[in-house]
Amino acid sequence: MPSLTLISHTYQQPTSTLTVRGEAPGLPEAAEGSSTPPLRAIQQNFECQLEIRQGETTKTLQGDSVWLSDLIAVIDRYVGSQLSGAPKGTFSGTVAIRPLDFIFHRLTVRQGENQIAQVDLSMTQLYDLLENLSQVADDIPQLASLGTPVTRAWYRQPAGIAALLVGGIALVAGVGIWASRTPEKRAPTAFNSAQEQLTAPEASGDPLLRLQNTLAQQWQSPPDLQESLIYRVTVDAAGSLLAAEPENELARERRAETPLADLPELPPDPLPTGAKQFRISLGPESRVEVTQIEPL
Amino acid sequence: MPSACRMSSSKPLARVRIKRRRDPVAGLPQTGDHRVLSKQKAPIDSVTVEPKQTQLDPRPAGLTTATGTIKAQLDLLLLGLESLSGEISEAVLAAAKALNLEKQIGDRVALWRLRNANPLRRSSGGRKEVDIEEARALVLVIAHLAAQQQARIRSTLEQLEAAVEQELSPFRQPLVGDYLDEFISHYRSRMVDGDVRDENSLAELALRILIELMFYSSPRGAQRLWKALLNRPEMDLPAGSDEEGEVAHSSGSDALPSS
Repeated sequence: MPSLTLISHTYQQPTSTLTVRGEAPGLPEAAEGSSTPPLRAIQQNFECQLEIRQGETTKTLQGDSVWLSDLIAVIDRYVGSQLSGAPKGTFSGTVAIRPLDFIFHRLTVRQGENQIAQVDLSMTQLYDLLENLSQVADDIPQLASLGTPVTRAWYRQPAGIAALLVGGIALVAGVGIWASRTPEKRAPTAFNSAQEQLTAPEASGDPLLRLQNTLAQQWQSPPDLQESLIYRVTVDAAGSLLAAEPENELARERRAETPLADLPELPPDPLPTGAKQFRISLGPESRVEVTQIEPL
Repeated sequence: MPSACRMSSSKPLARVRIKRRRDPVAGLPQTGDHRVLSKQKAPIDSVTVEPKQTQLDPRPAGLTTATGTIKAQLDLLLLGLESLSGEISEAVLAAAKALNLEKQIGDRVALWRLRNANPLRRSSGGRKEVDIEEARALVLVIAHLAAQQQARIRSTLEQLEAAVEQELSPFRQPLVGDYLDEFISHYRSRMVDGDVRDENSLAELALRILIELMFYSSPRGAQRLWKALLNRPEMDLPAGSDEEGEVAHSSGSDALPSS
């Protein structure tokens, strides 16, 4: 039976530490004593852990190769939009980010089966994150082809993490801002395929569920929100959001804090073929409700 | 676009603030590293930048000269660096030499002509065209200088973030205030719309340039800047600003050098 070698590497910036690890079949001796990690040899069981330091606290996020690929793509695209003078929120699969103002950005990521974590990043934190991600993208070009481990990933396991990671890395539990959601509220099939639908919005599927999943992933209600924000949103045939019109005053006032911040208020007139409209409610405790508006 | 910042020397910068924590940089914590082959980055205050010839993406089809937007943006980034560190011509020429770009930026006259090709300049004399190789050279030089100035850029940006966090005027933060004063002063004296733009608008421009410089101070800065320039929407520039043959009438440190 061929031996497997655990490979791990840590990338550090002042506010960001990214640790990646995975397994490679029997490493060549050249790896021993080499100053360059043989990260390109990783073929399976890839996992990563990202720490973002904010003052005296640290937020820790975890994921697999799909998650890290999404993070790399989204952050690179987002910073590109910032530097091109047209900052724009963006998402891919398990990761989303949008501007809060000209300095701060809200990163929303899926964690495990049913959790969402959010981190607000300053520009210097965004810079540090991008530096680490750019380096890991160079070091592990095979990342996109590694796939998701069949076995339960360590970051989803309730115990044993400390035994796998030697020293210094915070445990998962209790770190970060967790927005627990109630699985029963969702249709299980839609929930399980949310990632696929988000990365391939043209894929078939119930547009209502798709919208529900997208918003549930991105909406984190501000702590002081007392009542729901109601919007009339328009979605095209491919599932992409076209417009979001506030339907109550509070929704207009707090639009910048929602995942709809960058959308125009009014949809194209006439509506594109296949477009649908929904009434959505973004409520306290990160509640999301979506109902379809029947055409007249 | 994120909400535009509104600011003056007496007003706070941010309109909408959500409770966040600022992250002071306190050195690199040592993460426990397993059998790991840890690759340490250069310290953040490093000012030694190894000259290297960075390969930039191929030129886009049909683009042989820099657009007005590219010329303006390159000059504004140099203005930002100048506002952080003072007179910059010598540093640009030294960087060009270190990067083997003397063919494009060989002396102060060549640099003056490249910078004054910015259609926003009052002194729009000299050569108006900047070919794509010259623009590339400026990109490499700007990234090189931003890397040299990274500690200063980062400290200034961290002060700005703290000011936004606490809803304080950035003008009252020592590093940010100095930078803004310098940038706005240079802009007013050199740019054609310098007299008509209000302080808030110029401060916002200055801070956006500062943020961009942070990202261009990376070892990947030149590629980032080049990509951003090629993807940047066209700016609103003064009408007729790309016409040839205008007479130079610059002033101050920006005057045409005699050498």
